[in-house]
Amino acid sequence: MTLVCMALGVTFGYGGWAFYGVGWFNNPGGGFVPFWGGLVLMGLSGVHLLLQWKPRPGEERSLLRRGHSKSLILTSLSLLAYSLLLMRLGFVLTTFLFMGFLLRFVTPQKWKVVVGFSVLTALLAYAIFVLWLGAALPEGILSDYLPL
Amino acid sequence: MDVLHYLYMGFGLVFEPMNFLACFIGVLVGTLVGVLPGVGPVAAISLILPATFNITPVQSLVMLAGVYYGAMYGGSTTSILVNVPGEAASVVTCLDGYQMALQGRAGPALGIAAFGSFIAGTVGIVGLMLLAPPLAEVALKFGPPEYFALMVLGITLVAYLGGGSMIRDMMMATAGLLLASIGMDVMSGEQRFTFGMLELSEGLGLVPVVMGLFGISEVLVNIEQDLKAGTIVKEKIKNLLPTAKDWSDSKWPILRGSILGFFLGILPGGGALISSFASYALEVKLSKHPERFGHGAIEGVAGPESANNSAATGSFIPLLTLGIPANPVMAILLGALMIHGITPGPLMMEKYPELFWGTVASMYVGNGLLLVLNLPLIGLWVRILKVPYHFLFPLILLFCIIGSYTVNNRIVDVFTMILFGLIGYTMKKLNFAAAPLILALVLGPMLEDNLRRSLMISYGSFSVFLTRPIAAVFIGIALILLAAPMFKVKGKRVIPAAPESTGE
Repeated sequence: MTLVCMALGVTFGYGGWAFYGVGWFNNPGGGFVPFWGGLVLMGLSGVHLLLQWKPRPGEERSLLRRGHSKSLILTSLSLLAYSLLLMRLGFVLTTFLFMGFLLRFVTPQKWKVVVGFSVLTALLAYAIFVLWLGAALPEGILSDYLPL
Repeated sequence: MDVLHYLYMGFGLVFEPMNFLACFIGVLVGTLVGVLPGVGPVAAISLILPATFNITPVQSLVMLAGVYYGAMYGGSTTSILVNVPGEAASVVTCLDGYQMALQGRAGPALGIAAFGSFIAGTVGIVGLMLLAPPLAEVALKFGPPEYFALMVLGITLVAYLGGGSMIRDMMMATAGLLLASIGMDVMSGEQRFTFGMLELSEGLGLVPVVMGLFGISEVLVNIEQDLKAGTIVKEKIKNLLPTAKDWSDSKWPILRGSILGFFLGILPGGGALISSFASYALEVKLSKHPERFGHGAIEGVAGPESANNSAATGSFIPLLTLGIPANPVMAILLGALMIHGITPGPLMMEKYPELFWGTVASMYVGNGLLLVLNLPLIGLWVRILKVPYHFLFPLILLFCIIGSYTVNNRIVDVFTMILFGLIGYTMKKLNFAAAPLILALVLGPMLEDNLRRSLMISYGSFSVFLTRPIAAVFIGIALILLAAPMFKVKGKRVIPAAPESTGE
């Protein structure tokens, strides 16, 4: 995390200086805050890195808990898949697949429960958000069969 | 007199059917969020935000405010009955509330939590009503240096009071400031760090970032921890009305908690969590029998529960009078108002009196509704507590996706949310707090604008922040807070360490 912050500081510091003009104190330019902010972040990250050189037990060691990383990865991938499929398949179908996947593979449930809960959620969410609240969620390949 | 006139107008607004419905939905969702462990008020307000786009600004603010203080009410139920806090500010209620429940006194514990919350909410509203107008007048005298200094103080306070490592919190705040510079430069109109992406021209969306950092990351952490329902107290809950002795033991803790919570709530970064812990510590210190705490002392429920409710109300003051959010919840409310084209600040009460006084009046009404919702319907909330997490978490994820997509109807916001969800998860695992990042992200454009204006006014001299008294005080306090960790004195802890502030 510290290294990510350091990289962020370098990126913004360099970007502010090279592309947007730092200006001077009496006339600060668009790159003024990114440049100085980047320097401050680099400095703080450097100090933190030095302080954390010897991490205390249990700190910054294991990011993923053994045996549980599968659920985490599957959930993250399913979120990514949802965003990729939403525009193509539409809200109802993508939601059905998303709920089904999570219930079946992340916290394994019986198929009957999986299908029932997924269908119910997809249709109820469509009714509430699209039909009632007027949200413009993509209809995708089911557009001819949906009420709106 | 003006106050009473405006308050009358506010009540007139709240009792309009649609506004009343907004208030009811807000407190209902808030209670639900408070009851369910694993969904905090920040995530809940983000989730309900899209539903407020098509309603009036008054309805929107009334509903979102209801979610916030409703969550403070609901959080106590889970703490008392399951020993699992529904939201962070109710952590301390577990200590004595659950013990009371084990001793067969769940009813009085729930009762005093609800009545204490109601009284504290009312104290907070009166404070808000009396303090906000004069503060807004003072704020009119603020120039760019004062605003800049105040925002620096706010961010520093969040880092200081967060309970975690100061250096990590400052890193997060600086990262938030840098991320805030993405998009159009407010002074020159130039696009910065957008890499030619039109979607970034208005900067990173607040809603996707908040939903990612607070909603998605929370789910990911919970999945990993195999979140299971706690053991719910099985005995039938009876005698919800506290006895005369309970009242006698609780009246001062409620009053002290209400006042302490209110003032801590006003402080940027103070909020409900800090105030509940401060109130508990205060009660332990003032008690003639401190050994009773942790073993079912009703004061240990009454004080903190009152404090977190008045803090929730107090935190509206900086937002509504200065336009500066005190915590991430207020940051989202600021975002919600901006979506409606309203910029909160010193002129808000003058320009939009119906919004300000409608919200204040809705809090009175909301507090009454919460009392009705929390006590007679306790059986319903207990039943909701039993909903397994494997059904709950896919729904939370779905609401997050819908929420982030519908803000601008752009898929890129969903990707942003997922990215920040993974970042938030990593931050949680490595003990980096999200609250300073969010606050700096929201305040960033204002802070940058005021810094550059101040420097232009002073011809590049930083002395402008030290020669103007208000700015000098703010900067002075910020510097003291920054230096404070170097002179930390180790003392005896009277209560367990507060969880790292989520800013909720």
